[in-house]
Amino acid sequence: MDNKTFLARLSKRLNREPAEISVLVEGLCKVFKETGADLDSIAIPGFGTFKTSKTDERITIDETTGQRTLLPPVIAMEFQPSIVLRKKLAK
Amino acid sequence: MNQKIPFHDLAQRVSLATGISEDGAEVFVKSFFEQLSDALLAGEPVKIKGFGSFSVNRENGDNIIEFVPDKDIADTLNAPFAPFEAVALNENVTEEMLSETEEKEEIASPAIQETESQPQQMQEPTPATIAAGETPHVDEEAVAETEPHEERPDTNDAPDTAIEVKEVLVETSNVDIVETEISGTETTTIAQPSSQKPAIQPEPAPKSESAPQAAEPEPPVTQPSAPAKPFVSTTPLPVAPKFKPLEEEPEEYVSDSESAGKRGGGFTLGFIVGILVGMAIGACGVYLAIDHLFPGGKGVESVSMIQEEELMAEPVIAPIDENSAQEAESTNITESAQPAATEASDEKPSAEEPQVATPAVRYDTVQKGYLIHDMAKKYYGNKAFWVYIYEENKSKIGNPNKMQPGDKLVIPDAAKYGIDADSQESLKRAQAKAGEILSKYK
Repeated sequence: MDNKTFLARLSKRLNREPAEISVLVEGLCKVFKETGADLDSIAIPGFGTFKTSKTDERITIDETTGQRTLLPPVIAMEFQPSIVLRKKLAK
Repeated sequence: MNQKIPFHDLAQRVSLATGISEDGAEVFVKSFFEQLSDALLAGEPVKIKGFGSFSVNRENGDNIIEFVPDKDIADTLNAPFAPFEAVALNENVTEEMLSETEEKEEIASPAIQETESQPQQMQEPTPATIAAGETPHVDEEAVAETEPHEERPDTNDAPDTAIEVKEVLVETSNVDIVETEISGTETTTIAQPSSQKPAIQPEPAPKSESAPQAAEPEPPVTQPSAPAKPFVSTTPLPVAPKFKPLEEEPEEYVSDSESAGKRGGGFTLGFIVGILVGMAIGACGVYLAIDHLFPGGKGVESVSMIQEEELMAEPVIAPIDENSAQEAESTNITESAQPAATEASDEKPSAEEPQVATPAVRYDTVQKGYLIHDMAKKYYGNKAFWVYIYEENKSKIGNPNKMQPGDKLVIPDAAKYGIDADSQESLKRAQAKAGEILSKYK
């Protein structure tokens, strides 16, 4: 399902204009960015938790060539589905 | 940092970000994720612009949801590290670093050497063996951690830095990759020289090697140990300049002189603001004190208590001369500044000659905390008689429950309505009348 279809279905579900929904989704994304930047996690009941984790800088060594590479720190957002969602998926 | 944002908090933030109501935001967020989960349960991958893509993958008989955040989100999250890039470390520098580490190892205490030897034995094939083409495929992860306090004896420069060496042998065709993580504060890690290296030896040793063999590998062991050190050690590495921004970060704020100037300015500003706030609080205090000392309500009540006592003592309520009453009303402060004594003296003469005075009209002004029933209590001895004051002023008042401070009311003579605080009948009449009046405004 692409973005357009998703927004269309959501606007139908909420009985709102797609343009309005688009603005709301942008706001939601903005909140996710801000929360992620603070390394906070967001819990959505019945859906799951979006966690942000930081990996420190590290050296990777290719042992065949002996080449060592220094990698910078990385912050990644991960999703952990809730038990409810996992159970539903298992059915 | 590292907090868990609950749903209602998320809705609140969305509400602030989008300007919709909190309820609306809650409904939206809930519907958003319901729609998303519906699609995922139907097995559809979902891609949301600016958010990310979700897909359901089947692994080992389980459905696993995979989330890939949108590039926009990933870029925003990693904005602080944007200036850094992956850097290939120079091997020549590594050799130099190795010689330095060897020297440091000689200085290192035997206790630390012992701690080092254990991880070495557990570790996987050395780079030397790998280089010789013997590369075994090993799935195990060997993680050797050394406590900071163990490292301190030989490295006094970096007491706070903890170094973790993590070796991850990834089974690929012919390539094994060893990852070395250096945890601790980024700046210290970079800033601190190589001194800590001796404690950590990321070099792996072949599993098959027995204990006696473990003693031999010293020469190869020292070589591989270099990889971690050269990186941490400072100078010649191309890495050092890359990380300097981290060290310099705190300096970006201000130089000492600038910060001192700013601090001075901040102090002056704070001092001025403090004075202004103090003055404002003082003004409020004076205002409240005036209100309290020269009240319309309580102070008048205290004065009126004397009047009431006098009035109650005398059968006929002495009307106050209209002019004097008006004066008293118009100059509230003057009146209250000249307390009971003045009023008592005003009252007494009028009480002495009640027959002479025509049924005088008194006035009083509604104030905050001093309403019509307070007037009734003051002039007639019971709050229930407010109805007669109301009767007298109903053209002005309207709804008795919505009187405004500043309303000037005529206080009728008690005799006019047969008001007698001691009479139950009079009280009942007043209460009945009150019921009638109030019923009009319900």
